[in-house]
Formats: sequence, C-alpha cells, structure tokens
Amino acid sequence: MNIIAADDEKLVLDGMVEAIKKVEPSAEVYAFTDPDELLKFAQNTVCDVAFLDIEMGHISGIEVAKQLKQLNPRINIIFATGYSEYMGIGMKMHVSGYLLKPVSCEDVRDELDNLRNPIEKVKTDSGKPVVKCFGNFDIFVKGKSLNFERSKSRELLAYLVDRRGSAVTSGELRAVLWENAEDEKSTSNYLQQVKKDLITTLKKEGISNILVTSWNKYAIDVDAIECDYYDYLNNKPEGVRAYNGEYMSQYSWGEFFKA
Amino acid sequence: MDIVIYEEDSKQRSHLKNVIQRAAPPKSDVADFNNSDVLLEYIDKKDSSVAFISLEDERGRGYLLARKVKERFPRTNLIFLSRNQMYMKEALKLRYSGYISSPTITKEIIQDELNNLRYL
Repeated sequence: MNIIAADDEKLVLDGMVEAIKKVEPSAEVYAFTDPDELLKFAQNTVCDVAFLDIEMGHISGIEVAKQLKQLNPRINIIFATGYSEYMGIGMKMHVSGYLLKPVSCEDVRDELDNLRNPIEKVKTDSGKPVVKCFGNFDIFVKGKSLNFERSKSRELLAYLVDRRGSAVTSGELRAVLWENAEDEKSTSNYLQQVKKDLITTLKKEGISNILVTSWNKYAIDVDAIECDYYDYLNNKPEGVRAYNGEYMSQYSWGEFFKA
Repeated sequence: MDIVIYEEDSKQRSHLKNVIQRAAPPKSDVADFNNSDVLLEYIDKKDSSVAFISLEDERGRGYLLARKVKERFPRTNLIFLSRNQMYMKEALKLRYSGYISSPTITKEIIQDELNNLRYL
C-alpha cells in the first residue's frame, strides 16, 4: 500500500507519519510539506491513500485532493483538520474520511480499516505479475510497479494487454505508438529500441514469459498475468469492483469495451 | 437498484422520490417512508442497497434511524440530506456514502451520488 501524508507544518506531519507507520508498518509512506512536490510525485507513483491537511499554505487540501483524484480516481482521500467545523469540507468529493488533529493511531487504524475504496490485496500468491488497466495502466511485480527506461515500453505493453492475446504486428505497433509520425524509418528504429527495453525489463524481473513473440508478431500471454480488465470481462467480483469508469487513462487510444 | 427514502415532510418526500426515480438506473425500485420501523422492515425484506435519509428533523430521528440502518445493514449506502449540515460530525462516524447539503436537489446531484456509492 502506498500512502501519502501531507501537512505544511513539519511537526504535525512527523506525528502523522509516525502514527501511520505504527498502524501499517508494511505500507510505503511518502511525506510532504510542499503540495507542489506531492503532486509531482503522484504523477509517477500510484498511491492508494492520501492523508491531507485541509489548509496547505498557498494551495488548499481540497485542490490537492481534486488533482490526486484526477490522477487516480480510486485514491482514498482522508482530510485532517484541527477544526471540527471544517469536518465535512470536500464531502462532494466523496472522500474516504476525516480526522481531527492531532492524529492518533486509533484514528488512523479506523480510517484504514474503513477505506471508501478498499485496497485490493496485490495478488502475490499466484506469483504472476499484476496488471492494472482501470485508471492509469500499470504493471506490478511482487507489489512494486515496474520501471521501464522508456515510457513507450510501458505503452507497448499496455497495447498488447488491450489486445487480449491477439498478435500484433510491428506495423500496427508503430501506428499506435507514434500515431502522427510520417517517417517510417525512424519509427522503426524507435520501435526496436522500445521492444529491446521491454524485453530486457521483463527478463530482469523474471517475467519474460508474459510476452509471446514470433516473426514480426507480439502478443501478451493472458494466462501469465493477473489483470483487473480481464477479471471484469470474466465477471469476477474483483474486476467489477476495480472498474471505476477509466481505462488506461494515459493513452489516447485506450477504449474500454464491455464484452 | 433498490432505494429507500426517509423524509418526514410529505412535500419534500414526494419531490425527492420524483427526482430519485428519474436519476436512478432503469428498473430501480424507489420506496419512500416517514416511519422508521416500516422502513427498517422494508430494507430487511428487500435488502435495499441505498437509503436516502433526511437529517432535517430537530429531534434527530433521521440520524437515529441511520444508526440503526448501519448496525443492521452495514453495506446499505447511506446518503444524508440536510441543507444546514445537521448532525454532520455524527454522520461522518457512520461512514456515509454521500451527504447532500444543496438547497435544491437535482437529478444530476442524485446521479452523482448513485455513481459514487461507497459499497457496491
């Protein structure tokens, strides 16, 4: 579980982080006094919960929450305030909860036990990588998001997941990944580099088996991954719960089809 | 979707039912009540997924009803209605799905709540 904690007062923030870590020692907790840094961070890291001060200096906690929800609609926002009168601010945003400062371990425990969007336990039991398509696309191995050298490598993988096991040619990949490009030679070169990065990264994580390749064709092995989109299509409850109205949000070609 | 409404003012109740019926998904059942015991029996029979409860009465009957609903049917989505944000702090403890404080309740407001239910 990735948790953000934010307060413009460092002392208060330290107290909040301490309480969160005591209650949920396995969580990754990211602390911020600066809302701009927080938002920059959140663009690259999917976070499940955000404990936010309602007033954070030059930007309100409400505004921060709005932007976090745009990045991840399923993020659980928990507002922390020193004034009981402020409890209820932002209720139109369907936040997960409110806390009165100073934050106690009991309060944090209560909030994490009653999240509005419960965190689906990342399925490490099967040993398969976990692919998330609803919201932003991402792939996790043993609970950690995969790091690619090139952002197009992630997009290529996302497209193969979207094709649900159907083989895709290099020509189709070039058209999708570089839709407005006219120079076929340079996109062919880029594609080679992207494919190399994808294969290298998967191999490094020990999950090369998820990619099926043959002469000029590429596909995902649908049985080699856990995927919220596939679960949804197969009417599995975890897939239905995961659906939030957004599908591979970061890619313009992403269209969500209901089977 | 099975929806119940608790509102003691008959005019308000009628308006609310009308708006909710227009906003709810097709084939939804919407039942309105001004008696908490009858409402609880109904939820028990029908396993209602959403309860719109007005908190406007000064004696707190709406809030007390919500507490009972939460105890007996924890996964029924509670959506509170109060123009004056009455019982806000108490309502927060009940892990409500939504809280509507707008003076005018529109189809869009109801749809937003139904599209963002806490419990699916």
